[in-house]
Amino acid sequence: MSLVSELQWEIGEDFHDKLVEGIYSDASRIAQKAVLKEDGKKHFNIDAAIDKVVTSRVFGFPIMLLLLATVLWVTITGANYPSAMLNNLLIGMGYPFLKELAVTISLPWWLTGFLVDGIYLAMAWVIAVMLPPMAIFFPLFTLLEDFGYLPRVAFNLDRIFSKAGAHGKQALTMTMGFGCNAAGVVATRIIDSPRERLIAIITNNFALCNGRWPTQILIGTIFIGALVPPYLSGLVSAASVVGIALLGILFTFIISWMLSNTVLKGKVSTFTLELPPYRPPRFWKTVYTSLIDRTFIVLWRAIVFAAPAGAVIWLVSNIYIGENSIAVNLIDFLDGFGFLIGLNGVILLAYILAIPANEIVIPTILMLTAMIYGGTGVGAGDGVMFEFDSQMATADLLHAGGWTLLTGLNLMIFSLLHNPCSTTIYTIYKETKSAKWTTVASLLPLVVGIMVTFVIAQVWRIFTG
Amino acid sequence: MINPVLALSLFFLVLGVVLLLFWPEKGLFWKFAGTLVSNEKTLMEDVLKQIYHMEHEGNAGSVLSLKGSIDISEEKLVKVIAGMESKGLIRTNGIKISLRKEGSDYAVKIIRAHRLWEKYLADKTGVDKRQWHHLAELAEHKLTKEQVDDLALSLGDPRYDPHGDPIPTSKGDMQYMQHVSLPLFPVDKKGYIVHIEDEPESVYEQIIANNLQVGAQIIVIEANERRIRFTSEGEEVVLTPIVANNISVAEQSHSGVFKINTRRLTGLKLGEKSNIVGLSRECRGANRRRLLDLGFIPGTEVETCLSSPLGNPRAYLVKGASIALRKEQSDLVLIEMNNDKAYGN
Repeated sequence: MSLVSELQWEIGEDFHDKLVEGIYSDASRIAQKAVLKEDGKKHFNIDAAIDKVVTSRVFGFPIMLLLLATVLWVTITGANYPSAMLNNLLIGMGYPFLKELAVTISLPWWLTGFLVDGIYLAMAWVIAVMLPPMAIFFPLFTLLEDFGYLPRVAFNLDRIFSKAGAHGKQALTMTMGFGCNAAGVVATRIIDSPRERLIAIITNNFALCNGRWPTQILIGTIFIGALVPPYLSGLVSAASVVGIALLGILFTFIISWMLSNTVLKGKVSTFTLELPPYRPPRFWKTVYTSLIDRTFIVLWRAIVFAAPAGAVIWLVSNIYIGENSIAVNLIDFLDGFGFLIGLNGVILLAYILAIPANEIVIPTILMLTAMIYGGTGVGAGDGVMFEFDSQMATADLLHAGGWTLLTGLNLMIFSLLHNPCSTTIYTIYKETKSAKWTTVASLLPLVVGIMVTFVIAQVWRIFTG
Repeated sequence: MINPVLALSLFFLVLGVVLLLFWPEKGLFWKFAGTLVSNEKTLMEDVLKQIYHMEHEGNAGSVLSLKGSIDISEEKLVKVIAGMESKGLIRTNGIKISLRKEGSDYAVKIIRAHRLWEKYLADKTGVDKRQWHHLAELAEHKLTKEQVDDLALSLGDPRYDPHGDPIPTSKGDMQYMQHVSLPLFPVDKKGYIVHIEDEPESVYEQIIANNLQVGAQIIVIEANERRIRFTSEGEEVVLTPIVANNISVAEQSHSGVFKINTRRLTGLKLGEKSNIVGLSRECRGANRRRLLDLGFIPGTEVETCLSSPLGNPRAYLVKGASIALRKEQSDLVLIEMNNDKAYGN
């Protein structure tokens, strides 16, 4: 050992430099002998020309926004039909079929409730809402990646992210988060600097994911869109949803800055970004791998987590302690705190029950509200999640449940700022291998959300009396 | 229902108290935790280190001069010195205090721990260089000899700390480099920054603000009592003599000399080409390895090929690959000064 340190002393500190230098000079000598250079010059010029445009001061940002808007628009409109079809198939037809089947083979009511109303319905909901947008969004995104455009986005935006102590590539993982936070967290593997990668993981939840867009759109339409004359309501409710998504981006920057200047400042930080040459995307291969790697893996995890959630939702609504079901007891218990932050016990319980999947928040809220306020005739029974076909009916039920504009607004904000779903939490743990960072990533958004909604609720009450 | 005004005031009160306590570095909690650390052992080690530095600079230690550099009451200082004397670490002669062999060895051990910890922070963590000194001041009192030796081994037995100070070996040997302070260095001669003093903080801050680094090639243009004008890696810098005094310069750097005049890659305009001379010493640890792996090695041709819309980062063409670097990084890549080739023809 002493010989080793003596030698190390003699070699000096920059022997690693010398080693790399040696390897490179060897490699270039070999390459010169073995590789015939094609006329690569011309090909490169095309790349340079594309680069000049997509990173130019004038066109750089507009092109980026246009592409992002196109991808989101194609995803949202394109997903409508398959979503409706899946909904019709799994919930409209599959659900009654299973109920009848249960009757035919004379299952006890509680087993039917547990299996069909609980587990099956939750899984069906998650698949119907989640699968189509993901199956469109991820392949589109991967095509852009394969073409070579995405590194240029990171290149364009790096200055802005570096101000918050983050990496330009976080722009990509954040965008991926708009599709699914779990996929966004996996995507942070492209950031090879430990500090910036953790920042990207912890803040990914501030990107409004596909499971939360429907909640935003529904509540935005019912509560915000209803404030203005009907001919403006579409525009205003869309603006409110976009506003929430932008608020999420704002929080991404604020929290990134805070993390990089406090708990993470000792972590190693490097920056590398290679701008690879452009190439025509390999369409089918890309579609196939993005479906397998991103869509189905995430979907599978979501189903695995949604099934027990469905079971729990059914159980708490149907097991009674004293006169009331567990759900009612919990709602009574949570009502006080819910009121304090401008929400109510139903919403909080729904968010606790729906930790596995944001997709089932609205159905759970509706079911619980109907259970408590709706009386008979609404919904399909305790513990059976449902959605209305018309937004009017939803609005009526929520107003009957005592919802105000404040409840709607704070629900939209809380939907943005709360703990990640369990799929994402599990993914964060797998990626970081650290219980500490997983806890931070799970609780930080929740604490922020509670603080923001609390302040809004108090200010609201001061001004409205 | 709780009164919203009351609830809101209570919330901001609690938030304020938490921020006041735990605000990074300046929070009261951290300050309080800091005072707990300075116990008798810490104090004694600080005093030992100070006497050692004074003797090294050729000054004799005394209670008065020590009080000037260590922030404690005279009464406490006298007590600490008495304790040290009874332990056989120092001897006093009138007002003069000098180190015995044991005391000197002890001081060198602490200095070794301090400088190794700074080296560790520089190479293996992302801690900002403004904090290295402060953190090493805390760590030096806690590390055992075994821990220090393990640290040295894992860092590859480094010879110099990031400020350019020699790190004592486990036997206590130190290799000081011949150097003079910047104002005394001859004009128009090529030299290298070999040491930057990190105390006092305000002066160090100015040096950092001017982007001066250990290992940087400098040429003094003008030196008088009012200002020192010089180029560092091709950039012109003007400092007051007081600030310049904290920079030491030698004709040779820790890792030899560059035959050619160098400047920073940041100065290479869009479309221009040059050859890489090397990486600055300031480029350390993971960052250095990464740049080397990407092909930023001496002798390689480099061309600035693209600038992002906001001007930073920029992309450079190295060995046929287009690599984006932030300004902080391209500042650390040194290229040839005079051998610019025009783009195209």
